[in-house]
Amino acid sequence: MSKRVRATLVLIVLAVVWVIPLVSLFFDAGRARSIGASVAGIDAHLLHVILFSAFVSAVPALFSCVFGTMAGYAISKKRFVGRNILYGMLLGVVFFPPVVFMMPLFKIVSVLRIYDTPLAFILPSAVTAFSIIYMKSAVDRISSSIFDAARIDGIGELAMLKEIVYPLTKGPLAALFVLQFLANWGALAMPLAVADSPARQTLAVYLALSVQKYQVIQRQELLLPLLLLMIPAAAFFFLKPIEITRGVLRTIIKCKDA
Amino acid sequence: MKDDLIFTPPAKRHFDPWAYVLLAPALVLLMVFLFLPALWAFLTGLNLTPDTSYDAVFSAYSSQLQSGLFWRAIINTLYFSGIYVPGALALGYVLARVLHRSVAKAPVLLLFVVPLVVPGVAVSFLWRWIFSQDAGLLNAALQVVGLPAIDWLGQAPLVLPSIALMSIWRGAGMVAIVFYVALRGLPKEFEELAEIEGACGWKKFVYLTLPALRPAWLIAILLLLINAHRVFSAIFVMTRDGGPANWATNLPFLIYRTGMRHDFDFSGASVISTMLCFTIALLVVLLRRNELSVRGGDE
Repeated sequence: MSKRVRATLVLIVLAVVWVIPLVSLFFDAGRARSIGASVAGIDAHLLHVILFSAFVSAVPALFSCVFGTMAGYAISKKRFVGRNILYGMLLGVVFFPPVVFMMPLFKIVSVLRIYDTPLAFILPSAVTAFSIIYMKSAVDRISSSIFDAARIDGIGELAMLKEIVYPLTKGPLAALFVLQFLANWGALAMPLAVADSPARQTLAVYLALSVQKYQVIQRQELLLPLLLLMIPAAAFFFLKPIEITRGVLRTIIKCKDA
Repeated sequence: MKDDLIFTPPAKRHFDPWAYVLLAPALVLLMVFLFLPALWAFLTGLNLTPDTSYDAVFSAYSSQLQSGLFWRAIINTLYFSGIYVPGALALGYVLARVLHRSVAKAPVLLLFVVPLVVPGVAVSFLWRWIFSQDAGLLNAALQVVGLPAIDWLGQAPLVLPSIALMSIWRGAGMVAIVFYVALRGLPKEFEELAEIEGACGWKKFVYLTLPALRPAWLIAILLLLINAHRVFSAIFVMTRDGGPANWATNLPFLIYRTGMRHDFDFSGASVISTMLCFTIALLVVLLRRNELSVRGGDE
């Protein structure tokens, strides 16, 4: 058996082992039926939770694409006082666990009197450190000479964003939207910090709190929320997942071209 | 003179007020919702009432350092890292190696990224079911082999290794990407040279692959260490309030417990947050000192 064939076989075995935990729960006729039953008899609260999650995940993701592009372009192509300090801080913040921001966030939304409102979900995620440094690394790949040429032609800064940055970063922008949507969709610490009423539960919070409450997790009615929580991840694979992965890698790790 | 005009490199970019206009929305939001609240939290950890003596400023720090739970959380974080980092590192390396040799490369690599993309709450839920004592997949497998069922998440010393096992499953894909990229960055002649020189097995690994992939090893280890200091939703979902006898309470969970749940001790939680952030910042600085060689093309 050649090395190549052997490696492929090992890989197939590993791939099967990897997938089992993801699908094990749904490969049971009884459970599949109960998911079907819960879809048919979905209760108003769960429906509300799903719609609310989608709303507070999509809106800030969209904003962070816009603001992230503007800031990323500025950091990538302009020199200003505090540029390196800002970039360094953003790089650090990306790696901080969300838990450390729970209390500060709780404090600020209380001070601003938006605790337990949709705004408390949207504003703090309307721009993220990740969106800025991700777009910075995307704009880094556009040659500066294009901007110089445009400047000579007398193009303004906003037109520059619209005519050069946007068309050349459409791919990374779509990826950023999906990544930010998924981050908001799956977030646990942040939504726990900014709201506490059942009407302001996201799907992740709903599921996590249900598990905390019952402690027994073999409950058929939790299967549907679980499945719904997992499904949006598929969006990642419908875009160009390899390019996204490469983009994220280049954002958080220093890379040089060999 | 004419040539000069054409070939003069673009003037060194200097200060441009437009930078601040473009940064304004992001900076305002970050200031209000991130930097200022974080600064507030940091100051909350210090005792800054005007009449306190110099020593008393750090009273919240000294009371944390004397708290048994704080040290328990540090030990738990280290215990978790001790299993998670080597486990995910070895598995990820093997994965990358096998991928590098096999036929279908990048598309298969993506399969191992799935656990990273699926929300932590969902993944923890799935694994809690897998680990459950009476209906879990793992115990069912043990019983087929004839071994007794184990209460994976209910026994103090077993909780963290169980959660680490899940995290290894999640993190190995990330490590595999780093090593896969690094392996592709090696020159093609590398393997051939090794064989011509008669290096094989362990010798080849120790004297050739290890030094050649040094930045990748460091990057992977640092990424895993950083990750080990971020685990939260797994503890939240898979244990009841930090595990039996607090055996699963790591630093992030302790912050949540201290600040948001039990006694709303903001200064205590701020102190732990500050120390945790300094640790992670240090790891990030080390991480950014290493560079990964990337070869373009059909990744």
